[in-house]
Amino acid sequence: MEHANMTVWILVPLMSLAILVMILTARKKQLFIRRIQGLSAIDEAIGRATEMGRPMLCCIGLGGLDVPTLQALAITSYIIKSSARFNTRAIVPVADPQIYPVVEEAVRESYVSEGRPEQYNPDDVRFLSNRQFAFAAATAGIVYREKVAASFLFGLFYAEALIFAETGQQVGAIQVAGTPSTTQIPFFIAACDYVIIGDEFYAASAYLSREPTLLGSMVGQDIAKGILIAVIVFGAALASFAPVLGKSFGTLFK
Amino acid sequence: MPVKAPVGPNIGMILLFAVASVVVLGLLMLVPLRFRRPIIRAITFLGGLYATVEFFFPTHPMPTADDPKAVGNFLTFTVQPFGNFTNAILGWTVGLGVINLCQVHGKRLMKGGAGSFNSLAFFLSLVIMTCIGILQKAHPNAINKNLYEILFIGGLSNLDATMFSIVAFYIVSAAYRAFRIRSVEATLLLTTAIIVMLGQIAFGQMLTSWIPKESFFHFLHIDLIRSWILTIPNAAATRAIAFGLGIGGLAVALRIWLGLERGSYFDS
Amino acid sequence: MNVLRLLQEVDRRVLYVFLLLAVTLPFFVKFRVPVAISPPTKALYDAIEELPENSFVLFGPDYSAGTRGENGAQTEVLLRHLMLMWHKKKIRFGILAFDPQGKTLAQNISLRLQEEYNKQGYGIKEGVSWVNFGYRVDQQNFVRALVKDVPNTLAKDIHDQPVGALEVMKGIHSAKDVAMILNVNPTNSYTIYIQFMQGPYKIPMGLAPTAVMAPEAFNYLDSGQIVGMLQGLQGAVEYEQMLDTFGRATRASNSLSVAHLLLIGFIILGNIAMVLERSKQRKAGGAA
Repeated sequence: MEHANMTVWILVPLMSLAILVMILTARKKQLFIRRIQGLSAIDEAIGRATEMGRPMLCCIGLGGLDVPTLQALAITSYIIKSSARFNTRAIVPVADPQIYPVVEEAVRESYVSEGRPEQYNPDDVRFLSNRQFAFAAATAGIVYREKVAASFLFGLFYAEALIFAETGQQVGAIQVAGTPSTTQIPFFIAACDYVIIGDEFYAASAYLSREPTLLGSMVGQDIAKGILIAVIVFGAALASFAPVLGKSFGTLFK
Repeated sequence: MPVKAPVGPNIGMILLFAVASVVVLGLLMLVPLRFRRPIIRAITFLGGLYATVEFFFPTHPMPTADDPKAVGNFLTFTVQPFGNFTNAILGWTVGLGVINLCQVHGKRLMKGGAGSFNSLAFFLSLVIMTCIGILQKAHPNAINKNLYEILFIGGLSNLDATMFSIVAFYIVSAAYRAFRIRSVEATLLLTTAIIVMLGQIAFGQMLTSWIPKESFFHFLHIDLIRSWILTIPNAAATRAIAFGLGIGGLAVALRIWLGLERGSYFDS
Repeated sequence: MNVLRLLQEVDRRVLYVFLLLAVTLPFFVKFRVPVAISPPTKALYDAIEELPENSFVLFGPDYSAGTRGENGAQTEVLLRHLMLMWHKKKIRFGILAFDPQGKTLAQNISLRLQEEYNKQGYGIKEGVSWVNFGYRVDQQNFVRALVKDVPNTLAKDIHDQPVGALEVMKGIHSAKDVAMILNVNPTNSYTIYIQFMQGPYKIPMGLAPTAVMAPEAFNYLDSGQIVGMLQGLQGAVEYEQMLDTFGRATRASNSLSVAHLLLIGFIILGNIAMVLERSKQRKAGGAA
């Protein structure tokens, strides 16, 4: 689709309005968010790495400058800010050179915002390769050599997802994963300790920071989902009863 | 449709844009720190506004000689050049990756010690592959072509395939460890996985192929059960997750566009 | 060590050795066990069979050597079918890759199949029956331009020949002239074809994803945006059975079957040992 059709014209502005209204009203009241086990485990994983005196791996996946990778970067920033207080080292491998300067800047800012600029090691944010399996091989090598104690896998992953997860499992790392790539979720579930499924990934930044703007956005997303469910139920009912209601209603939706 | 003759590079335009880029970058470097985030937010907003207007603005017929049904709006003609412009900018970032790799491995090589031979291997590979790649294009004789084949097809391609093959081994160890009857959900997962796996191999299909196709119990054919699992509950679940992800992506994109995003480098 | 505990905690290296044997030994046994043809595979086969005479198919091998075990076998069966269709109905195809390795891998397969079929007098010729446009970047913008003007967007083929001058490209000006899209893809970039070619121009599209990506693609199959699909290596095996050939997919299918059975066997063994140990512990606890 190169330009919006009628359906997009109606649904996208409606959903966007729901999200924006909730963002604006969120600043006035406290919104509830249910517990997401995988995200609660992040602090536990950081604590484990600190106790063991071993570094953490924060892999943001293979995406470029896109929404899932920026979301993964937001989660990674939170992890680094939390770990900076305990002087725990974080290694951030990068697969796409386009995102490399953005990641470098975000990681540096995370340490600076916690008042620990000296902890930032530029060699810990490293571009490995933009080839899928070369990146996987290099990251697996880092996991084995550094014996990471905690592995955070947030972002876009493809077939190499299991390589990261299984090598982390083999070195005994506690692993938390979250990805919008639905086909890789089963592999993470088999090999990781905690997995964030579906749009819990996009809820992560709201959950971790409890920022009113982000919480409001999440509630707005839920309202948008409600709108979609209503449309689906309405459409399914119409399609089911069209023969019964007669030809005129059937041709209306052709 | 007449095929256009290829257009050569316009040196004048290239120089003009190169100078303009240097001037713009220089001006941006001079901007005080406190104005940088507002400028970034303004550029982000304008970029998002352009994409939104181009997508949503009502279209009208814009027939061409080749496509009489083409439609567009007042911004449609800019999409292709804008895309090329973006690609040209992003192309420069490839060098950043190589520079970073050289910095990290260069330091390690200078320091010496355990593992520094890996950094030496990196530099040798980089130089050899680059030289062979250039030679193969510039002087495509038999020696250069063969060297390229050995390194690219024989080396890189096969290493790629090897790493993908490791996934098979890891799946076995992960599945053996994870598929245990620890709870109702785990048992359901295990049963479904076994049915789907059996349904897609010849030996598994043989287990139920004896049931006649015309009989009432034909639905018990394991390949049919597998198809049902994949096309009905699995498709429904992935579609639902995809809807959630799509809306989540819309929300994040909206927040970034309107400067409402918080966290990491978005914070003021 | 307790046998039941041992069965639950088999060293992964032992698993790897068994898997290695399970995958390699069946290669030396040449037999085909018939498989049931799944509806998506049959649908893709029928869609290609029903192409009108002299049609042009856009073939996209967007995979690299890492996934050639599955995607390579799929590419081979689809190109085999297209070459058979050249013999039957003069169906032409053009290879357009958005992965730098894909163009070379598909080119090698095409040349090998061309030689094989020309021995039977099919008269397949590069530039006449098929063409390889090579590798292009930025799939989204490229496809957006391609749909409006095919020859000028593609410009040259893999041998630097102007595309517009090739006999295979006669009558192909825009997306309307493309009869079908076939995409072999280990990622989800096939959605760009759906968004910019299949959707607006209603061009039938067939997909050959890896088995891991197939569940995600079922949504598009269900909605009719994809007419048929090869699900990983198994899809290629089914397709070879329909074409009545014994190619690389069928050779690999025995290894696939034995490896699956090995995995199922170990899972069941581990679970039986776990259940037996639990009941033993319960009895010991009860006796105490």
